[in-house]
Amino acid sequence: MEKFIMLVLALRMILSVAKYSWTILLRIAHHKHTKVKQDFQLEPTVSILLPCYNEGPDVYESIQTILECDYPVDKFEVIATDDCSKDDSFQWIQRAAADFPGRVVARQNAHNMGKSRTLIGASHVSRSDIIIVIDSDCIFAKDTIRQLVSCFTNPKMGIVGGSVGVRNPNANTLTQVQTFVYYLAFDLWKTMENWTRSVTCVGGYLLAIRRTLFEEIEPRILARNWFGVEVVEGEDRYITHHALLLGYDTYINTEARCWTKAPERYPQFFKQQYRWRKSGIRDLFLSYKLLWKHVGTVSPNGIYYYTISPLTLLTFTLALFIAPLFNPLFFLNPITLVLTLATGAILHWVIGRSCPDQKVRNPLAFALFGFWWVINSFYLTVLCLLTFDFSDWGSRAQKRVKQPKPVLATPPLDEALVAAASAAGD
Amino acid sequence: MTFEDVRPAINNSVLTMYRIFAVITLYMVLAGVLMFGLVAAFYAVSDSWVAPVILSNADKDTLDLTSKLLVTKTTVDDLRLDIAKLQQTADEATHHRAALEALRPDIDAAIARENREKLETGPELVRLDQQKQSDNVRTQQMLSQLAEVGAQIDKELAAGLINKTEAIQAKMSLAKQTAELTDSKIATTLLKDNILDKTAATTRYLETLDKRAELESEIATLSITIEASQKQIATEEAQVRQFDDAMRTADQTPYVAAMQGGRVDVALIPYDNQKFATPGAPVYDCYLSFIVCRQVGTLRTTFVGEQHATHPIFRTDLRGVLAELELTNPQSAKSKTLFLGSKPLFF
Repeated sequence: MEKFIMLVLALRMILSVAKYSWTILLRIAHHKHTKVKQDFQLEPTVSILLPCYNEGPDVYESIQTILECDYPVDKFEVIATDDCSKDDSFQWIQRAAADFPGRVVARQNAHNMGKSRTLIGASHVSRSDIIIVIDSDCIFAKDTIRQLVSCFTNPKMGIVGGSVGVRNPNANTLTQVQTFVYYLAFDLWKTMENWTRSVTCVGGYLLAIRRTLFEEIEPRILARNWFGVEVVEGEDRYITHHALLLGYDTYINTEARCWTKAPERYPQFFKQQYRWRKSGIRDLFLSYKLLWKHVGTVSPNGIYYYTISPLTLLTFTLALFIAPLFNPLFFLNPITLVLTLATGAILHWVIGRSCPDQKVRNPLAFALFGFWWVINSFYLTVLCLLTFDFSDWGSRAQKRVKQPKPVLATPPLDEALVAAASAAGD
Repeated sequence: MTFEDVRPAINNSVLTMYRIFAVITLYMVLAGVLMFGLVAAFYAVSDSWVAPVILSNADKDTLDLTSKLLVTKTTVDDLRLDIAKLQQTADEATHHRAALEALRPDIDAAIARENREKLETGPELVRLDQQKQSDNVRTQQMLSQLAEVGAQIDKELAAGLINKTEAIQAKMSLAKQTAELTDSKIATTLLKDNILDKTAATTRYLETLDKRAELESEIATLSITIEASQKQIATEEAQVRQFDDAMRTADQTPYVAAMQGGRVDVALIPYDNQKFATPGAPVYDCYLSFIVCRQVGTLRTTFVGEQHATHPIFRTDLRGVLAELELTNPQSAKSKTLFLGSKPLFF
């Protein structure tokens, strides 16, 4: 059994090394192959959909920075929808609508219905060519919108995402660890997927999608359920997956940048990771359920990322689960610790050179990455597999109460749209 | 009735079963993780646990020791036999050497006597030889005058001065004188041989010396043999003593008892947990790892010599010593751990 565990761990290690080696080779020697042709003259109409739940004042800052983007004012709008937050989020949305008249549509659902239905309800208000979904705790670079829409030169391009950095990289050790992970996710992991235009998950923090494609996928989003229990999380991964199944390209433009607030507390972080992991596992089941539909539509690289890569991860998790039974001090192996620290040192150097704003003060925090990775792989996977009948807003589900500021204006709610969205969901 | 009509009922059933399975599994995982944490924490701080081991004559270690003891015993027997042979050889050599050494004074005395005699008779013989030679020279001169005497006898016979008988007698006398001279010359020659014997190293003398040298050589060879044998005996006796010590030490391990008696209950006491490892210390066994414990025997004796084992919980290398247990409940020897001195958690 110990040999089997070592074999699984070695297999995963070999796949990871191969993946990162190829990624680095692509980035250094064939960088242009990972990029799409961009046309910065493109100026389609854009609706920014901002679903919000318990974000407090962050939502105002998010709206403010997206509105400051370098894009024709008459060609984009922000549709901010509050999903019945328990805090003052809606008041902040209303304040933004008042501060930026005619540019922000402030909405609130009739009842809490989850992110997916909130997005769909907001999309019904929009009439733009491109829909951009953003997170309510992100701030955006001035050229974010232009960078995203400039990638839609090819009609086959269905979804374009951006890269996200951490707004609070040095708030504490937890955010430092996450900074490393975000860098790895966008500057390394996505490179291979960009190469074949088959990014398997464009994150909902910054996701631009053709309106027609969104409308095509919408019924599937509304029909999502787990043996009759509605699934309301992981819509970004779900949308991306179906875009690829419909024959569209998906792409991450790392020049389109935004920054999110990384969770600073472990419970919040745990919920976020739990939500992400669960959506990943749901997606794995979907991949196997629709396996034959992938063939001939999705690139082999994409199929690998949808079917084999998560499977090896699950097997790896199983191996990690079993390993302590044979060697309880398995996780304290000095080689593992040294390798983690060495990787952290290299990453620290690379991040410091390529993204100075993401440089963390304590590179030793990366040692915690290994610890987090084990928890994430081991416990969260088991937990997710056993809680498919439950989904919510994840890290935002906890009430955050801030001192409310004076509300300057309160646009009327579009009750009809809310009702329509609810009806579609039912 | 279509499938869509029954789908809600199927979904509800699947969900119910899934939820029951999920709740049970999650609580089991949670309980498992908590138990693992508790057990790990307990064993990290506990200083009274020991790892029981049941030894029998079929154990690998016991079999190993049995095999090694047999080899050692055979080696010791071989060494003792060899020592006896060496001792016999040394004794024989000593006896032979003593006999040879007893010969040496007689030979030396004979040589000395011979030398002394040579010193005495050699010069005298030389002197006599010289005298003899000068006598012979004079006799030769006188005999040369006898030729004339013979011719005179013939003349006198012819002249009838003497008769034939007298002439023959006279010639016989002459011949006798000549023969005596010849004898004297022969004696002189023989004397030279005697002188040579008395004044120079003859082959016979050299043979005597050679034999004496052979005697010395044989004595020396025997001495070397005796010394080598004694050294070899000393070395092998030391080896036998070491093997005996090793076997005596092995006799003090529980493996020999297991080899002879079949089953011995022992426990590996880690070095950190030796506080309670005294003869007579009570031994406790617990139903749930370290909870709900009862006394199951006492510690009989502690053995010397470091032993290695695998930590029963952490699976790391464990070092300590073995102790023999006297268990009232033999099944307790099959527990993962036992505790010395007192119950680990007072219940």
